[in-house]
Amino acid sequence: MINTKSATFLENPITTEIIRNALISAAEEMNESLARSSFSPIIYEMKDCSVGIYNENAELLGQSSGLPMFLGNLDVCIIETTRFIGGNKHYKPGDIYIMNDSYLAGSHLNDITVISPIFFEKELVGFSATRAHWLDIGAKDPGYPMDATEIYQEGVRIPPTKIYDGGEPRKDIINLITINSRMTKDALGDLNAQIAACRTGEKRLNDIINKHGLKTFRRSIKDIFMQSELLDKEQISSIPDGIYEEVGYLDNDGVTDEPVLVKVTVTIKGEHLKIDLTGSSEQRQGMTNCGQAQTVSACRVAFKHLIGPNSPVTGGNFKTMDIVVPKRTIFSAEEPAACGWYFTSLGLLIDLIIKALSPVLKEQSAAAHYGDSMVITVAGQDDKTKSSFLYVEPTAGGWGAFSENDGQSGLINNSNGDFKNLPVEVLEGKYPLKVNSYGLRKNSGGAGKTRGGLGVIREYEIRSESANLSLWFERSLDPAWGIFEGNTGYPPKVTIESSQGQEQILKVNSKLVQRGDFVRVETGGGGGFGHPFTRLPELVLEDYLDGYIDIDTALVEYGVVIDINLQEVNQQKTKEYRNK
Amino acid sequence: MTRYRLAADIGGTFTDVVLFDNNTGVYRTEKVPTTQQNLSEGVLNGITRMVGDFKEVDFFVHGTTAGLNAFLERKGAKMALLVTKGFRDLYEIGRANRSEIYNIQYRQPTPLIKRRHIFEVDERVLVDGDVENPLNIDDLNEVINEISNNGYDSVSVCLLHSYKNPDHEKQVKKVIQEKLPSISVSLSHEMVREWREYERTSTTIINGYIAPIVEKYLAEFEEEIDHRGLNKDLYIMQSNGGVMTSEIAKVKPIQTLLSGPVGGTMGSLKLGQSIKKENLICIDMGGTSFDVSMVINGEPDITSESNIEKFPILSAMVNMHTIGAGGGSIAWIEGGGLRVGPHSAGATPGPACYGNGGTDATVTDANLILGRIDAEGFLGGKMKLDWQAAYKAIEKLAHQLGLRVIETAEGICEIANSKMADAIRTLTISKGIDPRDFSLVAFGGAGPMHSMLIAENLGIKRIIIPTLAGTFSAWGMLQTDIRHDDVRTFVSLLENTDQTKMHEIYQNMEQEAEEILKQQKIKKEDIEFNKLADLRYVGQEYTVTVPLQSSLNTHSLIDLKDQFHNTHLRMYGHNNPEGDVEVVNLRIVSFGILKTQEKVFSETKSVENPEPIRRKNIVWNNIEIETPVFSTKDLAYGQTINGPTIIESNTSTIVVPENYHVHVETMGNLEVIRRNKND
Repeated sequence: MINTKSATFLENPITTEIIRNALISAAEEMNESLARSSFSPIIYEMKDCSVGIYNENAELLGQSSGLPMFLGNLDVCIIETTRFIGGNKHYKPGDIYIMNDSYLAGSHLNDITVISPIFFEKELVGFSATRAHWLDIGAKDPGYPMDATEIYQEGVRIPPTKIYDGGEPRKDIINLITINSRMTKDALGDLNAQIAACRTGEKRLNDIINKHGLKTFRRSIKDIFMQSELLDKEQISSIPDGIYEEVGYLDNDGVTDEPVLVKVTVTIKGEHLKIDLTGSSEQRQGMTNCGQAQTVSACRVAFKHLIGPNSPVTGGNFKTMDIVVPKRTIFSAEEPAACGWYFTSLGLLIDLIIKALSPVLKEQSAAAHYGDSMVITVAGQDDKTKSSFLYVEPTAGGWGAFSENDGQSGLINNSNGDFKNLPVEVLEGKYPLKVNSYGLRKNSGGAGKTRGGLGVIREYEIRSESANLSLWFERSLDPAWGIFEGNTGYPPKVTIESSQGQEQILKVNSKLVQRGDFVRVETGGGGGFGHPFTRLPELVLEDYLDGYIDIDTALVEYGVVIDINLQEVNQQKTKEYRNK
Repeated sequence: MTRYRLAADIGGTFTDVVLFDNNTGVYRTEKVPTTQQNLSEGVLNGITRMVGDFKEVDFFVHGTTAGLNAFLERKGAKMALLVTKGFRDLYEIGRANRSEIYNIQYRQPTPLIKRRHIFEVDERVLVDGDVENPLNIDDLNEVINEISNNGYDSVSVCLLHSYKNPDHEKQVKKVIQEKLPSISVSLSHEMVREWREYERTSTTIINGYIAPIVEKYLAEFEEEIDHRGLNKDLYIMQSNGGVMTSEIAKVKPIQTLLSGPVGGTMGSLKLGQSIKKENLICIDMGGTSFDVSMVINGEPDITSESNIEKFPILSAMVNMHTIGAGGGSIAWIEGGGLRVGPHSAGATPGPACYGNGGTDATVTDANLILGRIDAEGFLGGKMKLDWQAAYKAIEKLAHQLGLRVIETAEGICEIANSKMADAIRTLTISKGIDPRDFSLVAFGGAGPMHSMLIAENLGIKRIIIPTLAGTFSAWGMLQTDIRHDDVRTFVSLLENTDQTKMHEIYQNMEQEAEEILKQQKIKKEDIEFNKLADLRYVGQEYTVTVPLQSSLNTHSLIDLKDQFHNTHLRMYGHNNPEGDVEVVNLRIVSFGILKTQEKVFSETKSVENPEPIRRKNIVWNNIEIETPVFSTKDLAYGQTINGPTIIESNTSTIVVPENYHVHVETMGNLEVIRRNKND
């Protein structure tokens, strides 16, 4: 057993650290290169992309990711491609491959993966890989549908396919792929951006090997992996051995009414961690399925959330982490399952892993967050410009409380990373919509010693003759739970108000709405942490004064009696109430 | 003309004062400890050391951190915010993004204004500027009553679409001032006339938040210098690279946030002009910080949007990238490997060698152990360093790594240098720039210590070290003009834009700018205007700013479009000449030209090369070599020194490895060139 206190396993600690930093930075450069030259805002603004540099065994050297969900699913694409072409010996300098098959790559068909082998002095030394979300990939509806029941409705499906042969583009194949997109030009632009990013990775890896020599480079890589493995083992060992189970539900799969079950069993034994998803729903008719590669990625994200969120990932990580997924479940979809909304079940899976381990990782954990992207889509024709418009936006909500602080209010969900919502002033300039209000949802955060963050309320007014409204709001049956006796946050709610009256609905595909109709979306709050009666009465008073909770919630949920006239806590009555 | 031109720059640890003496044509500098309790005290101490009679000062420019500190320490004004009905939480929600993607305990920065101090006003303006719901005065009066009861220092007003139609904001101000004449009111459209409600609100709030502190600081400072006989205008360095009078600074204190570091960028630009280099990467490395900025094609790289602790600011600022490395970066061990940074020992306790109780090994400690800095001669002998403490700190790591102490020390420097180079490379890639086409300008106390090694990692062959490297930001402040930026959101297809309207907007901004420059005693003939426009392809979110070359007409609009296509290609690697182009914002940059001093340079080349002041053992590639040490005092135009060598000034130490030539330039600055292998 290697003792981390004396680093004798490192042959050259200085060079190893210089190479380690250079690889992280090389991946960042790939990402900058991709963002800089991509055509679609979903890549350069929303950062729905991921890049990585790998060695010849498809082990990760450095990665940079825009979305948290993309943590280790590119290696699978390299492995699958290599298997497909019959081994590493079939790669040539200048080759480039593309793929998007959900059952291999894990996520929806819109996520296109491009990989290229890297050679140093005629020897295969590694791979560049990039994944980016293309706006349209030829699904039955523009963008992606909300009610597909088979992958064939979700767009063109690409197995590992060679698009550059020894530096020469295979134009017919590239045409075949891009012509299937409703936005051929953007698709081609984004593909070129991905290729440029691969080239950046190739160039930087060559620079690094050139500077240090291949032998030193490989030895340092070995040591870098060893460092990651040691850190993982140290961290897993620090968790008490045991079996930790949790179960949760999605409302439905968007096509049938039956809830979707997610079951997690985490086993910790020494330096080993096993996540078993046996008992989760079989693959569903709706779009809440995903390929196994993406499930593995999500499990790693949950691990990262709890342990070492800041240290970069390498091929040495996750060696003592096993993930067990039975065949043909929502987490290991097979033909012909639709996978468009793959992140909804993964968002719940991540929350559940955190919940399962929270009893033994109290300081690192947090109560559940509001849960999903909560997407509203309005499509139609702008009366003024006579051109068609498509407004798609995920909605922020409340995050779970944790030991040190209240959960954050009005924050985007766990699968959307650094996504920024559209300013109201820009939104109203771009779409025939008016926003009547955008604010925090009072009382929506789960009560606790620390409080769950608040969800938001946003009211839209339709300002075109007519439009089609689509909604995907989730987690109403199993809203953000509290932990350590904290309370549950509010579930989501969407109200449509028209001359016909009021209607409440959470998921719908292309519903007709008309000028002057209102759509009010309300997202859930985060769960609370710790018993609400242990919250400092002064903090409850602050929440009341800021209007995050009302006077009744202060009393009923927190047991705090506030004197409205004096604007202070009645300590005596509070003590009495709490002791009852 | 009186005798002196003076600049003072307050840093975290030291306050720098640079003085130009018109009589002798010589620059002099002082570095005095920053007096945190009363910032002006340090500045005045520094000046007193150099200037006998304050009356002899003709021009005084000041880089102030008063506003920045008030913000960082959250010691600003007690404020109320008024927003459009339905949008009370626009400031707290912001853009709802989560920048730390693996952090489930993520918290946005605590808002500068609590929700209870935010009030809604019943009114609504639409995107085209039409009033849908007129301002409800009765409702406003009720809000004003609450404001009056709560005793606020100031009120900010940010109403939806006020960039398009500011009438409601103006009315609100009028009503408040009638009822509460003593309270200051700032309107979002007056701060920045640009769309995006959260960013505009954040900008207005930060300005209002630091205003009373900056105002008080400047008033007291002016009183102090006035008392000592200096009664000329006080100029303040702005984040946009220009200066403004203190009167303007009191109204727009947000422009003082980068007051210090920007001096270095402007100084670099000036140096670049003197040696005909238009593309510069400027690195400012101090005890605890590492700032990178750029000069591209002879212009400072300026951004119209930046942020401070995640709060957005819509205001022209030099693009200053702070990188988590510096002399204070801590070396530590994780998973058995050696890491350097991102944690810093800061100013307190600082590196182990500062002797303030720090026990972590830092980059500065490593430099001391390698002999690159001197325990006695640090900062011209003003600060003694504790060699033993540094040795002990590094020895601890060396044991764990199984390395010798000097190997560990040099390793720490190498890791720090390559990390800094990596960070700079990533920065240039995102701008579509190849660092090899640039020269590196290095300053700050620690900049010249690392610059050659950083340059080597980046493939940069030319490094410029200013004579006054340690007080360069203050020097740069003496090289600038008055600057004023303004913007209007004007969304329109470029193809069929309303030229009359566009012309009117530019003219309007020119008039306002002229007014502001006049207040700063600039004559009309000394004013220069640069017109710019933010453009994008229809459908895009981001914009590219391009200059309007001549006066506005159909021809110049075509030229504007061509420039946009070209810039887009350079920055993003592709463009779409057939695509529809949209105008989003119109900008104007106005300069009030200040007369600067004559250039001071020697014309006669020195024939003889200087003598070293001493020789000492310094570690290069793990071997101690007896190395000559020179003093900048002994250097003269035309001389050349070959590495390896150390050149000391009283504010910084220049580390020159083997394979580098140092040339002393006409103004006394050093140009360091890397030799080719076959030279």
